[in-house]
Amino acid sequence: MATLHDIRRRITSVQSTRKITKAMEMVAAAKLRRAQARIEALRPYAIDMVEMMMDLATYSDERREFALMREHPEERTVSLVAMTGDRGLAGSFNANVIRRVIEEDRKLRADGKKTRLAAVGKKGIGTLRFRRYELVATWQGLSDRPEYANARAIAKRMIDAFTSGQTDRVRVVYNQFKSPIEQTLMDVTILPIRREEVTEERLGRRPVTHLSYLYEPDPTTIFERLLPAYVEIAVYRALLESSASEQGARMTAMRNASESAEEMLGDLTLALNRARQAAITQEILEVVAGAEALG
Amino acid sequence: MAETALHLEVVTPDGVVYSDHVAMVVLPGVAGELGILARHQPLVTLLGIGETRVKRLDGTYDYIASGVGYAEVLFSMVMVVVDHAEVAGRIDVDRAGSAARRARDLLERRGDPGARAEVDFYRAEQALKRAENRLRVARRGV
Repeated sequence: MATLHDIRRRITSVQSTRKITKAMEMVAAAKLRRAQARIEALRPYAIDMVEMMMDLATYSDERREFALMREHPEERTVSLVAMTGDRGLAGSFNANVIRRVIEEDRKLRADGKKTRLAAVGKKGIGTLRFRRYELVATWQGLSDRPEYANARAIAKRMIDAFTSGQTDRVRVVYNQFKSPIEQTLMDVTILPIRREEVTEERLGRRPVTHLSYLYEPDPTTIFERLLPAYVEIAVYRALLESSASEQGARMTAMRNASESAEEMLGDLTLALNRARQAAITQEILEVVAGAEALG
Repeated sequence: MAETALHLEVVTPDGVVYSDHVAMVVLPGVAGELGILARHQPLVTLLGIGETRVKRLDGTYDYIASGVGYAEVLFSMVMVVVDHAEVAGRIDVDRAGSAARRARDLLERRGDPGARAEVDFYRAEQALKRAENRLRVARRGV
């Protein structure tokens, strides 16, 4: 049986753990609100840009081939980007992404394809390197507060790898934010951009117009020049979703931890009281026994 | 005045930066500056990194450091959709200054063959362009 001293020490330890998990829960909640606000802020830009692209696509030369849309007839190399966080203690947030990337990597290799792996976030980088996967590109220090400039840098790297023929397809695995307790694991192709995606995804903010716009320069050129922005938006959205998911997952994980700590404290307090009672009874018995012996 | 007023909206990935009724907008198009007044022909144009000048209804000017994107003019509406934009009075000069310095430091290593692999010079150049543009516009605002 544990001594009183031991139990007291455990209680103190659990109490301070609970303090930490509570604090982390609250910090995550605040960061989650901020991450959600950023997703909201992106929306008008993303909608305007995508709708403009769709308009341009209908006016631009159909026969024209765009480098970022070129489907490779025989896909040999596929890039997989694992989007994780820089910190742990967020439930299965990081593990899910890493597991999926490793699974997909194995499948692609079994199909006789080459893979190139890249990772965003210290956790993904660390785990994949530890398992001896070679990473062609890594980014860290941005999962807390991703900026558009980060998305631009990542998109640029993807576009370079794609247009130079180092890879035939770029896929990103990330957590999509649904609610603080629920994230959906997504696996989306960023490159090549599917033409139907650009022309079909009507978001309904603006009615279709048949006005004779003046295009400066011509629609095909504008379209081509704006295509990278399309990639940037897709990457930025994934970064923001992942960031919100991370905070949500951490909040939930920390809430569960705080609750377990609470429960444990209850059990320990009960054990403490019982032990204290036993000790007192023991002492009384000893005093009584001593008095009897004297008498 | 309503007929001669334009509605200008500047939208970036970080949100709407500017939204107001104005008298005139001068856009930094890729092929040169474009002045837009009310009742302009419907237009779509590519924008380069530069300065978007706004003449307000009271005749004063606002200056916006804007990035790459496009502008659309439709009836009395001007939508400027760019990857970054800051109104002159709100530009953080210190931050823009240090960004410019960082980019310049990177570009200085251009000759050194060892650096070529780790530094993305194209990106540094773009960053320098953006930072210098912000500094230039910030100075106009005062």
